Amino acid sequence: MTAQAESRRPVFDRALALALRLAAGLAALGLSIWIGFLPLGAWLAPLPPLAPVALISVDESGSYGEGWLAGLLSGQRWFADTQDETSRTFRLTIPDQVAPDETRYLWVPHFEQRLAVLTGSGNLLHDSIAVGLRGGPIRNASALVPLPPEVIQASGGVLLLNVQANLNRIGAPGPVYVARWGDLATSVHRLRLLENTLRPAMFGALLFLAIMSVGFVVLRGSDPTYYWLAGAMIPYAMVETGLITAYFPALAQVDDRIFAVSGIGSLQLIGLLLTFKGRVPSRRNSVALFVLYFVLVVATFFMSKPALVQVSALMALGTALLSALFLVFFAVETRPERRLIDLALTVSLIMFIAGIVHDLLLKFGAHESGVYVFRYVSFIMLTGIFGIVVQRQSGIADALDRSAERMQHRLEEQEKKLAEYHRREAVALQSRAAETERQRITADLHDGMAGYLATIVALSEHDDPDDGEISNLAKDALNDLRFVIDATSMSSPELRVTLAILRERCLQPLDALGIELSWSMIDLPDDVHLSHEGNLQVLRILQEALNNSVRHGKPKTIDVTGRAIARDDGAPWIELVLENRGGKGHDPGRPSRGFGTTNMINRAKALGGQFELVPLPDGARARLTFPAHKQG
Amino acid sequence: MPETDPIRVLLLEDSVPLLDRFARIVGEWPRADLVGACETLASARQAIATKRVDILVTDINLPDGNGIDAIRMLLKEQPHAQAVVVSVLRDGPRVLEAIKAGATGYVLKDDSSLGIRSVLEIVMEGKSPMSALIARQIVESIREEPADDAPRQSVTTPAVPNLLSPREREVLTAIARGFTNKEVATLLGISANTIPVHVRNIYRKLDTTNRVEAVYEAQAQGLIDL
Repeated sequence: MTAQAESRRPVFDRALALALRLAAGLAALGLSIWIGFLPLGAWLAPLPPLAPVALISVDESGSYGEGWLAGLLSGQRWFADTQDETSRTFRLTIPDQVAPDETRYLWVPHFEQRLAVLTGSGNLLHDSIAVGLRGGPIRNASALVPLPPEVIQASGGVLLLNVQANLNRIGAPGPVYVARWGDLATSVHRLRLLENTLRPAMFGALLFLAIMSVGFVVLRGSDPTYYWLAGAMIPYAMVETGLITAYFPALAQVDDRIFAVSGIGSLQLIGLLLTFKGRVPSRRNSVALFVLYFVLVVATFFMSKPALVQVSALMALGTALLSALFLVFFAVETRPERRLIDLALTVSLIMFIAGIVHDLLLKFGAHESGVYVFRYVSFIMLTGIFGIVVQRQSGIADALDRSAERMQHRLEEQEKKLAEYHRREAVALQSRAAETERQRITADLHDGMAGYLATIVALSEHDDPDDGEISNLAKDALNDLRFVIDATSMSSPELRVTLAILRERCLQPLDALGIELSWSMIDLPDDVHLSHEGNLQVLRILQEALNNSVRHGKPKTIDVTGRAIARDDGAPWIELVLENRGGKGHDPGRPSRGFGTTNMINRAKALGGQFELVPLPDGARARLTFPAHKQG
Repeated sequence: MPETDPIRVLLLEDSVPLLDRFARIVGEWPRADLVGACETLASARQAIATKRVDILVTDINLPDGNGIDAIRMLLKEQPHAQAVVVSVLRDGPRVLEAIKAGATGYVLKDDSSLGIRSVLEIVMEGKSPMSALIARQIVESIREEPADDAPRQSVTTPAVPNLLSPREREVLTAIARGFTNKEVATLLGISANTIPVHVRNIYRKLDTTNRVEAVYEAQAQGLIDL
């Protein structure tokens, strides 16, 4: 096999499959038309197996001949061609051999419009309007008229059947029977079961399904399927409102019109079936069709009767045609994975089209039976489709439930993972925080107390230890330890509180030395907060400056002041000044044992600020400046 | 108490060198009379039970108990006595606990003799010192008390904020913000000498809260009948 042939094969296969499906679709269409030609009504409500018994003539006013009928009036169906011709009377003569010795019944299984039965002398025996109101173009009814022996005898065996029809309507009685009750019972009961019991039940069911469909639209408007479902259900339910015109005569005014445009419902039905094929039409189209439906109903009020009949006929034919086309398309598009439902829908479509064909044929007298079957097959189809929609949506809901369960399960797993992650993170954070704190305290102790203690050890091991120096260093060590602890106990205190710690610590020792301490932080701005390290740096710088002042300056007074200053760039800074007066002037060239000033400058740099020591004639001024917020 | 009467001082400190140092400081102070230098809570209880004490200087951590118990016993036995706690560090919560138990001052273990005498004299004059840290602790402990509109379990347990006068609250807040007594006086327009008096009242009211609670508890348990 050549490569070219191989590439052709799929195309050939597809074409063959399409041809087969097309053939299946056309076969189904042919089947549906063939079924439509069958007298289905006779199967549903069989006519009595009686020999022809009556002679029917045409109406009294015209010329007519007499003759036996073969049980139906196909030749007598008529349209009222003129405004004057809206009524025809048929004469029925009961032969002598059927002469009564018991009550007979006149049985007209099917007539349209209005039927009156009179005796030959004009006495009214039956009027369909008095029995029940049935309007509309296909509002057919049946009539069962008891004929007691005295009536037959009094009328000479002659009955008049008056059939009234509106302009351009078919006015027709079907077959007419006169027989004993026993011969008619089956036919009468079956027809009345269909017409008087099943039809109202169907109407109720359709109305319920239509309301449910609207409910679905309201509750789940995002799904176009429900729009098409409601769009189909509402017109089909409305068509049957003719059933209640006996109770609400005003409905008779709109009943014809609703029927005339009910073909829109079939379009909606086709849209609904398309959703089953995975080709979901937009819900906007459904809404547009629905609006068109009501516009057409209103428009019919402006139409003449003949036009209305023509619209009705066109709608019926259009529906049949569209359904036939869709049936073919449906067969072509059938997918193997949905075979069962597709098969059921195909059968339903066949019956749907067959029902339309059957009823049209019945309307024009091609069938003997007076039972319109479309309403029954369409009801079965609509109910089935509604069930499929509910089943599909239930399937979707089940899938969503399962999906939600899976998501919930996943969510729980993720939550567990997250909780575990948070737990680990918290432990790690705690550990890191503890480590940071440990390192900080170690650094604080190393920078301060450890240095003092090392010096104390060195001095105490000296041959001639200076007790006073050791005592001073021990106090400095204790002070520094307190700085560390106090600064640790406050996470981020105001600068003024930090400085108060130093003030309270040095107040008594200075007092003991006779040095007057003047302390003013009233010009310090509120809400200046430094970090822990910042606090410690400030305390250590001022402590060192105080120590130096006392040890080297021998002052009489020490002034400590704090205030806010603004630099040239406008940034807020803090200035702390420690000034010792009344003692020895600071000698910058004095040899130093330690690195006091250098340490203070370095600590000020760590604060992001500056430290300077200015000599005064009788003392010195230490000035520390740093940004107010940098350490915050 | 007349100026001429000696101040009867009872010391309670488990560290012998520190106890010796305090004893020496008190011994060298002409106004004071050392009625006892105890290393344990038991011996201090015995001294409180048998001797008249004007001021108790006590450590908090003791080998056989807590110095706060000694303060409570002293104030119960001798309501006019004063108590001062000794701390090596300014351990805010512990000092605050002692103040709530009735102490009206505190000294540091390494305070100079002058400093210690100064605190004792201030306390005996009906005044009390207060550091910014202690003030902050008190403010925070007050904040933890139920708010005025919050339901209370007992009508006999007044909250501290209700006990403090507006002036005392202002003083407490200013000290907690780090201002000196002089600055507080300037800010509030009052004399600097009255600040320690306000502080003493604050201390007393903290103690009062505890006492009211104790009375309520005792009454609830049927121990006393009011």
